[in-house]
Amino acid sequence: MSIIQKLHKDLVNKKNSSVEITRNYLNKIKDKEKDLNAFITISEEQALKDAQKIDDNIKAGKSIDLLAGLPGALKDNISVSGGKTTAGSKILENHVASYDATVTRRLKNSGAVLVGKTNCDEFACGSSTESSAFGITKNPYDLTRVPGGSSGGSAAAVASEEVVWALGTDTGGSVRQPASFCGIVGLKPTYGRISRYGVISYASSLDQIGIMTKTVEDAAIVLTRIAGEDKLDATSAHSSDRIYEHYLSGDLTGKKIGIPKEYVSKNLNESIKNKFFEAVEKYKECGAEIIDISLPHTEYALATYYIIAPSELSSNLARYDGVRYGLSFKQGDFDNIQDFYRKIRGSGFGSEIKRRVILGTYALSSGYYDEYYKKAQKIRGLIRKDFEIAFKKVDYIFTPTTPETAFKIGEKSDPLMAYLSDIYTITANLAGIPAISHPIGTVETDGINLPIGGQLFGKWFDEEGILNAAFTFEKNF
Amino acid sequence: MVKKISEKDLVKVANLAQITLTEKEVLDFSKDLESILSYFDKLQEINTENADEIGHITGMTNVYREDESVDISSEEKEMILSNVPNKAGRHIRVKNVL
Repeated sequence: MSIIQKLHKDLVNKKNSSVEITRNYLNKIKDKEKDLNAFITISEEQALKDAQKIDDNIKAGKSIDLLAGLPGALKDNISVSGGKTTAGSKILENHVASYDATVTRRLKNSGAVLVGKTNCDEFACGSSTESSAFGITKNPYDLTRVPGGSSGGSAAAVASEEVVWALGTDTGGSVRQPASFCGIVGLKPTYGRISRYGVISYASSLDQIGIMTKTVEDAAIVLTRIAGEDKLDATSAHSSDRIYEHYLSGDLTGKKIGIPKEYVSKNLNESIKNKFFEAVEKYKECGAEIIDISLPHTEYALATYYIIAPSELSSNLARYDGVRYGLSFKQGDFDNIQDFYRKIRGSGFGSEIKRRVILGTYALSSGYYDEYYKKAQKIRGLIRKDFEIAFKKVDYIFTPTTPETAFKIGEKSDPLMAYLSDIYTITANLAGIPAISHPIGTVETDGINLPIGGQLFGKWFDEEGILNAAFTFEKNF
Repeated sequence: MVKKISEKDLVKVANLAQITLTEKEVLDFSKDLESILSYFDKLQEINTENADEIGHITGMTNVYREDESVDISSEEKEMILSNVPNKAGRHIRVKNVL
């Protein structure tokens, strides 16, 4: 059952107050943070003040929004005016945002209580939160394992009930992969569905804000409050506003779900494959028709992504120059301004960022542009076409979210091995389609039961479709 | 086998990206980039002669707005300036460019 709906009822029936609810969650944060390190910043005082305002409104007999008074968190690459916003990077360690992101403004308007900013891989580049400059976040199911990434702090915070809901960002799977590793729901909407204004950019043609919650209905409720066109983001989609939680009928009769053979190849770990096909059977029991399909360019997606994303990153990160904001040296011996830039960036960026910026600069350099960037852009078109063809036959596509359960901290030191963790999620970003990861059970890994997610892809702008499919699954099992 | 990117070229690209690297980073990244770039070879398997480069992924075209200046409050101005690491009064101090 929706946690938001339940807490909202308690608030309007005066069985509980927002201050009490917020305090309970803040106490959980205090309890768990020394183990988890899910947060970079906790804003207790402001949260309690905002909660009090909601309580005052209730007392005055005013009606409140569903999300009002309920504590949540934002990934630390989403701006909150007057608050520290670091994107997990040393280069932004003391950076204070001077304005609210559009999602922040919309959440504040609905009365949501923001309790803090969550940890993430530096500039959202990573699949484990290990590249954060502010320490590693641990997986609540096993503290020796990663929560996934890059939105690992948001995932761990929701899974361990430090907050009711959290936002992350998803450029290649950064919401869905940690949702799978932490046993929660992670929704990445269609590219452009949610304004990116006020989000620290990684790869602008792929970046999308995503939602992390314990239940599907909660994700729908948060989406309703933050989605929609925004003048401040020219890439935000022209779309009519929808109340997504009203589309959850719990009925899948007559819907067709495609299973792409490329996602369940012989390389997939046997126990994950078994768990996945159990979930396929459950979708059948929900009334869906299962159809085998093919997305033939899948095996090229990872290479395509790791050309496009670092290329865009290298361009977006050019702004960190130590002049207007961010890490700087007041004194020092510099030959010239270039030398100053290079030393600031050399010491402010972590090694994964340097690796990707250099890779991106190389892929965009004259002489290599055609071989890498242009080629990748063309293959991106072919990957989109795969989905266009598939969606003529089926309504949704179902795959495992990740090829594995949460891995051990430090296990993936080779960058290419770490990139493979995104293999099932990146196609949605390349094609721009919406996708949701929802729990499908646990798989025994080294003697412990660890959660794993299944992923539904939907047609462009059909968030309500995949939300209803995931909701139906969740309701029945 | 010829390396895809020599250490010398790696340093050149790092300079273009305005990043200094330590000697260890040059060695490590050279190895990493070699394996990543080799992995990219996979893309040459596909004939893309007739494929179109992607534009905007959901097919949006130009979005226009009026070119108007928007004033911000003095509070916001102060907030922006408070992030400047090296100031002289209300000016941003930089090392001379020329």
